[in-house]
Amino acid sequence: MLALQRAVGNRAVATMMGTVAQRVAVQEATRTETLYNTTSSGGQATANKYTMNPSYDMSRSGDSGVTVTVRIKFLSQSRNSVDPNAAGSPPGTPALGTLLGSPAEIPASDPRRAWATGVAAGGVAHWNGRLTLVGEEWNLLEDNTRKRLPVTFRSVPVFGIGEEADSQIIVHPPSTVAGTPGQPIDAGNYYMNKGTRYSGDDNVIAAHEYGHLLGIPDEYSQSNEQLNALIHQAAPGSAPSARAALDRTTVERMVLSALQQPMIDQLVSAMPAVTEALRARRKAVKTKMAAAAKAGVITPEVRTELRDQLTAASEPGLAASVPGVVAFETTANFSNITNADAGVEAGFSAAALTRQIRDRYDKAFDTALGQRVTVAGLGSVSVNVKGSVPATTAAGGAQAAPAAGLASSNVGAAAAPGLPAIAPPPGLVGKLAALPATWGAAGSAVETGVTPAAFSAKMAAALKGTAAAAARAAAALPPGTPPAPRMARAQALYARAYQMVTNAASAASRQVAAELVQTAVAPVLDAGVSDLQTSIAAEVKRIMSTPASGVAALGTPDPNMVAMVAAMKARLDADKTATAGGGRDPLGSGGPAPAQDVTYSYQGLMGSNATTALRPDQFAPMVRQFNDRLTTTFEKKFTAEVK
Amino acid sequence: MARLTTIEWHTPPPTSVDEVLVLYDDGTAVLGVRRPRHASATVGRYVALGGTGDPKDRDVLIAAGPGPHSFDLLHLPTVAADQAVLAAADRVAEAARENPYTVVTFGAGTGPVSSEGLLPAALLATGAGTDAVEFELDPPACSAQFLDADGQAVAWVELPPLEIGFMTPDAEGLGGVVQGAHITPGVFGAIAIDLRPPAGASQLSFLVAGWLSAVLPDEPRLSRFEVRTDGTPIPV
Repeated sequence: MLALQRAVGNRAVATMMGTVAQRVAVQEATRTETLYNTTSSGGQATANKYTMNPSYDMSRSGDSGVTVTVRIKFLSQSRNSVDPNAAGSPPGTPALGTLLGSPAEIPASDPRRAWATGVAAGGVAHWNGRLTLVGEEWNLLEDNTRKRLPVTFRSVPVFGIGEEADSQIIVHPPSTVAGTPGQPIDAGNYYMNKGTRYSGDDNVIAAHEYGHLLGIPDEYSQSNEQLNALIHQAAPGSAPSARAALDRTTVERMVLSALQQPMIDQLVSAMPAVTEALRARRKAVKTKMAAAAKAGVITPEVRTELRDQLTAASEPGLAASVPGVVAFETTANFSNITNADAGVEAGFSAAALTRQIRDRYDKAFDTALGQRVTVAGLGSVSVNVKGSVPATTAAGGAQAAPAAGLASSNVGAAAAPGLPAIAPPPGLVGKLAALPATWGAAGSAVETGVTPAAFSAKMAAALKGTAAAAARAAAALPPGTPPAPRMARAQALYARAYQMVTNAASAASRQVAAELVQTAVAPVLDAGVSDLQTSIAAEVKRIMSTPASGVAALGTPDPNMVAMVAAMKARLDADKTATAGGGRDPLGSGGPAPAQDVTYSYQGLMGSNATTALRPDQFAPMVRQFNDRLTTTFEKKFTAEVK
Repeated sequence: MARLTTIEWHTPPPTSVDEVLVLYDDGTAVLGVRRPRHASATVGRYVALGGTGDPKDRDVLIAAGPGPHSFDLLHLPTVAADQAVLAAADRVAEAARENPYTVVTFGAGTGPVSSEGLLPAALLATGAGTDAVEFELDPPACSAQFLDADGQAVAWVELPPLEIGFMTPDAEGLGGVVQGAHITPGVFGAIAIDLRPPAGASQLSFLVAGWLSAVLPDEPRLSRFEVRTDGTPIPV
């Protein structure tokens, strides 16, 4: 070979060698994967084993590129949609969703062919322009030749029942709605008519399934050990530190999740101190609301909307009266004080305030718990704390006492029954209760939130919504039903105008009041959760990443926080110990896969599909096939480069 | 009222089915639907009273233990015992689905596109069942989806800021934005939303997301819901 290379040149020899094997069929052995996608009685995630059959063609076009082709055979076959256990079901009826009979070709004129062709093409769109195989050709007498081979992914639909294919998918016609009984969407069944159940588009779903044909497993519902293996696969150099950081975040999330309900319960129990403080400012809010309503109800936006709707609902002869009626109902006959009083009372009732504040606090926790984590070398990952963790702080739970202690110290103690609050308790309750004290100041939430402009915008929107609802009511009448008669008498016009103005203004003032409360409390509640996270993180750092010599300098921690963090760390450690060494596919390798308190989902195309991200390590099996079967003697091993 | 068993149906994203069935010791079966698996834009609580459906199914589910027994609809169980539990749960759930208790169905309304190219659209909500449904929209998580005549997506846009919640034909505010919506059975409301449809769009659908209150009687907390409304023709 070296003699030949010297004689005719490196490139010529390489080119000759490159033409030896240009196209190979890749048929890998059936692979398995383990997903923690079910739940145990204790709320932990439990594991299940699944299979996939990678199969594709790979061809190399010299030094210009590589093409990976998956042939997908689209056929027609119906599924059983009759519940075998329902009354009247014929004996021998198979299980719901069972494919009936044998698959058949989709007729050439059937729209399913065009649809399937589009899905096949759309599915690979997410893969193309992303992967390049990068390598070098060894030269004896000159510098190595660097090579970059863009990989083009193709998905070729075939429709002949006897044609060769890498996978087979049944396409169901538009008359069959996915998600109806016996018609669950899965990798082997595509539906032209997905109804309204599917939130993902066909291309993303097809792209995910395409990845399985290339041999790439799912990357959602993974245990800590599985994710650790994935991190090692993606970025072995930084894996130890990445896992350590992820473990700290995991413990933080476990503690936060465990504290969520106790914190909310504590806030609700102490809520009277907050609601009374807010309700004490009703008079000032009503005064401001009355002024806002008086000016807001006569803006051109509101009056034009009223005029347009009333004119449309009136006989032509009455239309001329509409402007006068609108003027009357929005001035002389509009009681802005009554309106403001009712709106503020409704928005500032103890029940409404309690619900609004409680729900907003709940959402602040959910937002914090749902934050994605960036894992070094891997990418965005969601941390999914299972129900077994918050169960530890429920009544009778092992961590109920420290959780209650933390809730009390962070939120504030509940008011003693029968005793008026002399001063707001400290903590979150104290901060919330102190909010209304600032409402009298210039630039306060009341001054900036309760304005004629705000009222007018709400009222105009309310009137537009009213018109839309009225249109919907008219459209819902049975066919042939005559439309509601237009107003022909002034009395009816005045009554309708009064109803619209009164009700829409009431809705507007209630909305302005609700938004005032929301604007005031949301930052405090968000900060409350953020502060809690900071406290949790400090303790997690103290016990998980601070050298013994530095612990003393961090001060004396809250014993309840110490107990909570220690308990959650112990749970995570136990989960990790139970699964240690299991790798990505513990069930596939015959090992155990004990239940877990936390699972993780990579956010890319093969994970939760939240993004279409891909990584070089996902292509390792394919690159191995390329290096084994489509490279020349003089070429070093190629690696994957992913955009 | 204590739980006897809990069954959950899920799928991974992007489908994200989220339904739960709970059997209680008073004989009721409660189905909570947050992300429906059926072609429906309806979420909320359904209740099958004692005596509804086949008692054998109830026996099967109770015998399976308290659970939760969770099923991934894209990876159905292969063990016979699990298949039996799933089949029985499906039947009880379907029986419950016939009896809405506090549910809301979302829809899209459209009017003729103006000469300026604006589509006067409406997000509709209708209450059903025997008691009022309570929920709150999460406007940043909602979107308007434009479809072609075949129902394929053409484009989607975020909703503009919503000034107010659902309104009845009589201008009564039902809430739903910043404050909870409270919609009694048979009552419906609309939120007017002006949109600018792209070329090729012939239908409008809304992706509706938010929080449901007390989807199960023993779970007073909020829970996320998400549905897509049917495509509604855009008048030309």
